[in-house]
Amino acid sequence: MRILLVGTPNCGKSTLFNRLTKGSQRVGNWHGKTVECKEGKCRAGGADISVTDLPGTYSMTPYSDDERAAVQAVQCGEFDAVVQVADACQLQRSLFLTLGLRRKCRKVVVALNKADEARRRGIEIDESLLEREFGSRFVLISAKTGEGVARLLSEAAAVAKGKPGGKLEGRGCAKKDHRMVRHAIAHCTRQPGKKGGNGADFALLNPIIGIPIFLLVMWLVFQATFTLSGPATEAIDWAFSSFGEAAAGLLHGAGAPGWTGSLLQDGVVAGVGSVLVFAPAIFVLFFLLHSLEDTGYLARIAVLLDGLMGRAGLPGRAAIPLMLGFGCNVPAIMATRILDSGEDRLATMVAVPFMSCAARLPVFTVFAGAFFAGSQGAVLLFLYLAGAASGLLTSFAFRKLALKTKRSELAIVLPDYQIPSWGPVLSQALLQTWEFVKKAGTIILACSVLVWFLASMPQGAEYGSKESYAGAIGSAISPLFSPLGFGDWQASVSLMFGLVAKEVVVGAMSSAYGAGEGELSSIISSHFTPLSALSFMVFVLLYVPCIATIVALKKESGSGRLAAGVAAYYVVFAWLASFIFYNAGIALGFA
Amino acid sequence: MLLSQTAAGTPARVRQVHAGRALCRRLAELGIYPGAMMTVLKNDHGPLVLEVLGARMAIGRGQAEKIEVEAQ
Repeated sequence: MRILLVGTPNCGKSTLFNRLTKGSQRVGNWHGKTVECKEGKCRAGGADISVTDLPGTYSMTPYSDDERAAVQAVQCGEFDAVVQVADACQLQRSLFLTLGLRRKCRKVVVALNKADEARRRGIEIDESLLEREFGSRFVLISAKTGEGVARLLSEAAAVAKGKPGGKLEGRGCAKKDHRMVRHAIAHCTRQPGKKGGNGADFALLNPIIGIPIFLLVMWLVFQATFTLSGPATEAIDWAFSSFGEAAAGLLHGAGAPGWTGSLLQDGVVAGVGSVLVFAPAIFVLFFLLHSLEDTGYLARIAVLLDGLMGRAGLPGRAAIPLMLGFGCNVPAIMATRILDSGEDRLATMVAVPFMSCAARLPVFTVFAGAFFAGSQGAVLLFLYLAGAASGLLTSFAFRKLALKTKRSELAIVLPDYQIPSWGPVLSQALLQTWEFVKKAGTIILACSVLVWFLASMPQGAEYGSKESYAGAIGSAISPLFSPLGFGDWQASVSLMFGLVAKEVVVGAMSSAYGAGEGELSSIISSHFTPLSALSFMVFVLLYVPCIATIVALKKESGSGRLAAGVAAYYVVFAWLASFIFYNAGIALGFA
Repeated sequence: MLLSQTAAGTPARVRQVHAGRALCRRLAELGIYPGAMMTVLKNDHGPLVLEVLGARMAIGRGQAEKIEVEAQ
């Protein structure tokens, strides 16, 4: 038997899904490329049940990609029963969806979730009266405690086996529907007077109080993501480099040719390691983002920053992935999932790579230290701001020229504040981290092996030297960089290695210039001028951050063409920016 | 009177929504249709916050300019 879970956002659908399908979940893609739904299995009454958790929707007339996916899934009819999850504490909105659902299909069971919370608030609901009004079964449950879930499944099984209620006839009319819902609420439920709670919204939605709170929350998320995951990341890094060394040593001892050990250590093991180092940060980040979503705070951010982000054509929530980009672009691109529409997600994710991530900092520190001692802070600030401005500009242009749509105006329900349900939050974060490792892993590993091949072949060439293929390519492309002020092959090679990860640029440069420990800054002072050093930093800031970022872009946008296109755009954009910067500098007499 | 000009704290009833069919339907599904009751909770700058159908919601200022209401 196959059942679909449908419901409004924040109705507790994920909690129910999690309770039903513990440990058997996977992510499936449905109808749209950027929309994902979770699938899982459970057993009840001696039957296997497969459960699909659809994206949240307020109605059966879709507005965003996510809603469209949910509506199409119901319309295509490949299921035995639909379980609508409704929030018993906010029944009015859910019942409107019930009417829409009942017009599309007969086999609907409504789970009135959060029954325990409703009782606590003194809300009474008569299931059988509701059934008479709407013609489907209503079951009070609590996904959190498990109350009523068994009964819900047996009702779903009964509906699946037949004797469905009749379909509701006719097209819906908002006025009539609302009258019917109001009538049902008045007759079938008893609600005590609503208590306020405007205080929190007053503070969080007020720019003067709300924006500092937002910045504080972001700072905490940022710190937690990149600090909490730090030890795990370092441990993975350490484990993989020592494992690689040991394995290479073992191969060497067994008499295998030298290149096999190097392939294993620098190619394969280092490649697997470079995928896994992202995992801790992604896990912590998703755990925090899902928690924030559950509390209802993300909806407030959407309102608070609507005007500010709107100037760049982005929704308020887009501020979150963009700010995370300053830590690491890969989790930041994945964080665009908190946006509601596919177009908003695309317009935001193309801007993320311009946010200067932590890995670019070592390059800036070395160059700024060598050329601008005393005013490094100003140089860094300039670079960070230039990156952010380029990102917003790109996003704006992308929306105008590629998507050719306007930003959809804000119209959202602000969910009640509540404590997150940790189970689903945890399992969702784990699932998404695993998906990243699985899907992005193979491509990143392949690229890592390719780079190893280029850097250490033909046989006998020193790793990353001029004689290697990488050195040859570097020499061949270096004339391209002459107009930018850094035309020697060493600079080109280190930029090529920078495609793998920006952390590598400084190391690759040291080995290309044959610089020992601590000698690099004196060597680059003789190869660069202050102006060409700035031009180099601008290029490093703007060109493709790393392969993992492009892989994440491909995975999140669902389009390889888009990812390749924007990657090319980044390189061209960086080249033009550096070119203009360098030549304007010369024209102004700064050479 | 337009919803965008309604002061915070005012209960209001929707008279008419001056918008295309798609937007009208979307707003209706969120509880904003001719005859519906709402209370304006916040209206200073940026999106408006309303109480509709027993829950709080936010809509952009541009949309609020298309909604004609009468204060109750």
